[in-house]
Amino acid sequence: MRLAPILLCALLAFAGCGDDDASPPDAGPPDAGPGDAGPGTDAGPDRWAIPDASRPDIGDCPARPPAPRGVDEQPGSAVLGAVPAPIRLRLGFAFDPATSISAVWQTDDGTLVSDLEIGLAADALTTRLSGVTLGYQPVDRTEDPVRLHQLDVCGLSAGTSYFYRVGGEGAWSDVSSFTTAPAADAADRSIVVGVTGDSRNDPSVFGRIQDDMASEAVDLQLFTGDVVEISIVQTQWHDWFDAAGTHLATAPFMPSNGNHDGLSVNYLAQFAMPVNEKFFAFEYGPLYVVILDSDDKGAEQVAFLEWALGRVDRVRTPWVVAVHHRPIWSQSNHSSDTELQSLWMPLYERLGVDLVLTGHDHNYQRTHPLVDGARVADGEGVVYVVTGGSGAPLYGVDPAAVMAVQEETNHYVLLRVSPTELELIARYVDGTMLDTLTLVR
Amino acid sequence: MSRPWTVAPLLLLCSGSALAQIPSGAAELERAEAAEARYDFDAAEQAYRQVLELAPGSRSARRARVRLDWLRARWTESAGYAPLVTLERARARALDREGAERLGAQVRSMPEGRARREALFVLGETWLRRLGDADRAARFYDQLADAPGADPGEVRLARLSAAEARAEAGDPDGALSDLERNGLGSSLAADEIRRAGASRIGLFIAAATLLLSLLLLGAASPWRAGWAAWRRMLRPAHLLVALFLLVPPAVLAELHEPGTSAPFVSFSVAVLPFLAAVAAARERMTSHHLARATRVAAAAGAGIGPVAIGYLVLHVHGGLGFVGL
Repeated sequence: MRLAPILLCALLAFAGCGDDDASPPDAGPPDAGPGDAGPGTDAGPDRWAIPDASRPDIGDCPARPPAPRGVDEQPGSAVLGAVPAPIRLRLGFAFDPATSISAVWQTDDGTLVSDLEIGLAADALTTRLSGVTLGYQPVDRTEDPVRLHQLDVCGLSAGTSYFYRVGGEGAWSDVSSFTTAPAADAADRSIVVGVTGDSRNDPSVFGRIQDDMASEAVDLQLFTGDVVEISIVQTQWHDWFDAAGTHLATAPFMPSNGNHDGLSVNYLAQFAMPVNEKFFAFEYGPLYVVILDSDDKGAEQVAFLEWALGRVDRVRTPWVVAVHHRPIWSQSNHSSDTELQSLWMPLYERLGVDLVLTGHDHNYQRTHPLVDGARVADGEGVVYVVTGGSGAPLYGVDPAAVMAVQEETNHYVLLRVSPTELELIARYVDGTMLDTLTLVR
Repeated sequence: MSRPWTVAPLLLLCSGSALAQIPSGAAELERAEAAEARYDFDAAEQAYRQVLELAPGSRSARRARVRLDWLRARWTESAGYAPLVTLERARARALDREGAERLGAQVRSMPEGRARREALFVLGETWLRRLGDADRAARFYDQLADAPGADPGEVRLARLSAAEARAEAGDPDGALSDLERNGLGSSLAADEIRRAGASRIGLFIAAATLLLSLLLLGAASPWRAGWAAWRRMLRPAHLLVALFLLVPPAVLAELHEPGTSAPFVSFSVAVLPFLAAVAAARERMTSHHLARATRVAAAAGAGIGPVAIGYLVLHVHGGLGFVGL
């Protein structure tokens, strides 16, 4: 392990940043994004809505908010560096996932070409677009500068498989494939969602999970926070992306901010996410997903949550899932977050959230359906899940009346979602079944 | 002759039921998944192929293609899907001891292939993590690493898991040398085993320091030095520095990863009387014995100092994650 970041962090810790809620000194949401407008600004709640990016044909998306502070963004050009081959390709989305996709990849620092070719067949990549490059210097100056490339593609058809490659002349990636989210009125809207969290110390566990999850053809991946141990150490990210292999290039990966991610430049720049990249909501087939930053318990996020849950159309999206790092209910090292219980839990209950996916405690826990901490009949109330077992040191669990299942183990979760059924399947990393739960509408 | 209005509903009914019988991609996908759920993988394969034929560009086809590839990778020439049926039945719920024994016996007669290798991994994981028999787990991981056809990823995973099992079984040196022999000496698993070793060394150092401190304390007899001497040797500033250096990492470590503060705490407990002993000895230089004790303490301090610093560097990492970095 490199000593410099450790000493740096030790200094930071001794300088008084050492509490659980602290963020790294360079952390902070991107400047002036539409989601950053605080309460009382002119933007109104619609600043939280994912911008409409529909267009008749495949092409560029509207402008995104500026890059995070500390990230140099510029349009791609034809410049090739010494090692221009794209690596660590991953997908996300900054606009509607039914009609758009965002690709992010890395090259050597000298490469500025940021193109993407896309089409309906591997041998017919008919549309070529040009994106932006993002560069930043990790806090540890001994680490190499990071050169990323991002390209947002809009005008895609819902529920359609596309083939694509990234890079540019002389440095194209292999062709990968992804499928856009199904249209709200599609006959076949069923989706499979993969859920992981707290990969942190051991990316090989995360890699193993990704291999296993690939056999389920997941449409979307959600992550409950804490990707790496120290988010300002870029080499840890490299290990993590390398462990994931090519799996992140086939379906969007949408993380929520954990205390170890700390909204660092590395975290914000390396994933494509909508609006303010900190808290946002989107429809994906029959599922409505709200992603929150549980390190921020401010009024704006409460207002956002109320707004986001208030606009759910239960015909289009019969199922509502919230994702954040700190658990509302947990009987383990970190315990239940009582602040979130008073701030967010009443909204979950009042506005009909079906499932809350969290992490922070490194194990698997699922509650019975609950209302105000009391068990209610199946099909009512909210089910809370702690899924934090993707590589961080495991934590023990203590039995609790609210818990239906608890186990100290590495694992992952799959959600099979159709308009009438939400099936939760938790598996150990060897594929053995750990838990199942079926909610029926 | 029947009137047209009486025949029409009948015709509609017939055409409706006929339409319902026309297979669609989504319906075939459902059929395939139902077949998988009852371990009828031949039927599932057939239905997935139907999906690809009926709706080649659809979302159903994407899933069908992935599942079909997955199934075919686990099909064997000699036994078809029988090994996969055994594996999937075993994976339907966590195995108890009896189930793991049974699967272990079944694996012996399985033809080589993906399903057998995955069954070996299930056995390794089951014995190591769910049944607590690390020795037995290591044997299954070893079999997986040596299995014909295992891809580099599987071999690596097997070697890392085998090392973890060996370290768990009380042979960290053997585990490390296995990893180094297989080119995995710089892996995270190897680091973890070394860190665990370093932690044990750290605890040993802390215990030794404590013991030495107590001996020195006895030799120095600081209680005879009088209150003024105590005040001089343990100035508030010194105590504050010591506390600042030693206590926050311990608190941070405990909050971040419960249980990791033990080395910090023991070290803190050990170091403070040690410092007191050295200081007390210096206060009473006139005594021949205490002068000797001072020399011993100084020598010990000189020896322990760098080790202590190294020890702190090793363990300060434990407190870092907690600060959110």
